[in-house]
Amino acid sequence: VKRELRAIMAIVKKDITVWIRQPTAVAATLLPAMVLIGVLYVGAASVGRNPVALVVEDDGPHAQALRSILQDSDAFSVTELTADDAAAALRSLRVAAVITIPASFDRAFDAHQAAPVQIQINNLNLDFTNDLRRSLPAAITEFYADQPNGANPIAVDVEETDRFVQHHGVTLSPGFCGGPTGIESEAEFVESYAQLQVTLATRVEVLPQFPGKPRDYVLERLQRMNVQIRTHTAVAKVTSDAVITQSGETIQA
Amino acid sequence: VRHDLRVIRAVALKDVRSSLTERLFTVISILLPLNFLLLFLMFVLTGGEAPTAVVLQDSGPYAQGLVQAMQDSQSFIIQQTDAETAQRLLEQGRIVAIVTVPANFDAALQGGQSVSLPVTVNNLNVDFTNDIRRAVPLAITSFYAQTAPDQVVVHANEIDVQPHDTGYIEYLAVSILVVSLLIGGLLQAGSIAAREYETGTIKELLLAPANRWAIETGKVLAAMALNVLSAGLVLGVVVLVLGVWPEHWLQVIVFTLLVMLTFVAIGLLIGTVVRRRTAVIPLSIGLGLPVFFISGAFGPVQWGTPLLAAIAQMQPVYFAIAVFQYAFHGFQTTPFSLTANALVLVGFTVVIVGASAAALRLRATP
Repeated sequence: VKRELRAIMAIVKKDITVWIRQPTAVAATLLPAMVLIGVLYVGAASVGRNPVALVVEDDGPHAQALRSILQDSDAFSVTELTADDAAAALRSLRVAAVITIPASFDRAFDAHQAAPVQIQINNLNLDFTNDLRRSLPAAITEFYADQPNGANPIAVDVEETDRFVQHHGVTLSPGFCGGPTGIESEAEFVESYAQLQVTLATRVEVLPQFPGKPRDYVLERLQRMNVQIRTHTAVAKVTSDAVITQSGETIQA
Repeated sequence: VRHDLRVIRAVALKDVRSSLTERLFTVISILLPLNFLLLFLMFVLTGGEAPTAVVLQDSGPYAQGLVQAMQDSQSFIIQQTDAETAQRLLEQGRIVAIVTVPANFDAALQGGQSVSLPVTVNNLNVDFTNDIRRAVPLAITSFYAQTAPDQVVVHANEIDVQPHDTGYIEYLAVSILVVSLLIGGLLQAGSIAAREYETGTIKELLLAPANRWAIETGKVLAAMALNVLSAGLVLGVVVLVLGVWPEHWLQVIVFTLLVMLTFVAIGLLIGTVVRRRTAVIPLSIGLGLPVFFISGAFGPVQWGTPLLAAIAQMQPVYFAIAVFQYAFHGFQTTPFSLTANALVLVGFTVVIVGASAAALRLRATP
């Protein structure tokens, strides 16, 4: 066995030495892999975000709300331009589309009249085009979802069930219930353990000391992170695989 | 001149004959570009639409309207079925999600009440799951915009720049045709050049009373002749099988010759520099792939990162894809005009042929 091991080592050593002495062989082995890694690294930065010019001709609150949603959208890389500059950018292929929120947007919205948002797409191929076609209605969906209670006309909501029940993590907001520390822990859990379905349980409201916009923003972000929120939930007992609330409900881990 | 022409003809004939004696290699190098075409198309065929079962428990107009909105959303491939079949399809992995339109859907909406839409997702990976999570609310909003336009007044009004949509396969097939020409050109020309060094015949060739440019031209012509077979095969599949009919046939032919010349010249340069076919083959395939990714094969590179766009413009494949997309679809995919793209390609070819001729020097063995 020792002799065979020596033979194996000698052959390995010989072949590696021959390979190293041939710069073309080394280049042919390493260069394509290095170039491919570099290309994928540089290319990955732009995947999924199409460059779009945004022209906002209305400074009313509804137009500004939609503008803010479009700017925060994961689907676009938005540059705000004037109408002329946007048209030039579309012609010179600097952007894939131009979205225009017209001057009459707020007036039409308040009067319950048609308020079209124009999207001009360079429909070179259906991959880009369909992404853009889906993304603007998605932003409009978010716009309606953000409307205050009673102002959102959409009465159909989605009740999702996942086929594979994931391991469940329950974050119990420490100290001052549902406070900033609890929220921070929550976000850490979600980011560090993507496979977990995380639930935030708090005795009162989420961020009770920051009502209004800050709380709404945090709630929206938590919902986007697929965190289940249980307010007014006092915990009676924590076991190795579940949390039991004072009302007797069991939240399985 | 007559002597040079004789040299060109003799070198070209000799290289074609030498290549044809290695039948297996020739067949593989002709079929490899076609293999690339089929491989990339397989990735594309899956598309961006999620196969979804709709269980319609209400046959009212609102329920029908919602299904129509889902069909129009370009996000689903819809299959209407009963709950049991849908569950079975989900468990077999044949669909991504089940959307159930409940029996009280129309009644609830007519009564101004809210209604929940049960959605079961095969959450195997976040990509599919998030597609469904985004697409269902989008379909609901579109449904409202259709059925209650006085309530959901905000909608997208689309204007297209191109006169008609072009499918992803039709677009990508043209880019793959270019990369096929690239890989075929690099393989054929690189092997022709490297073979002279491996067999030691480069010494005799360079000592012969012939101009080096004539030798180089003969090799370019031989590689192009062999590459025409693989280019013709790929072009035939693109046009006849995939049905991508060029808008400008003459330009397709002219640009095919121009692009082939460029890539063959690059192949000769690589073969002359590395002098081994064992290095030419992995370099041709290995460099062809990343160059394909950065050259705007999937869409204009300007829509990606500025760094990627800058790198793309430093090599000829970017311009080759641009002229082919114009010849096939009439598209402008670079900020430059068609003439500018073609002139840049000619410039690349001249520089590369010059560099290749300079690299061709006497050295009998590697």
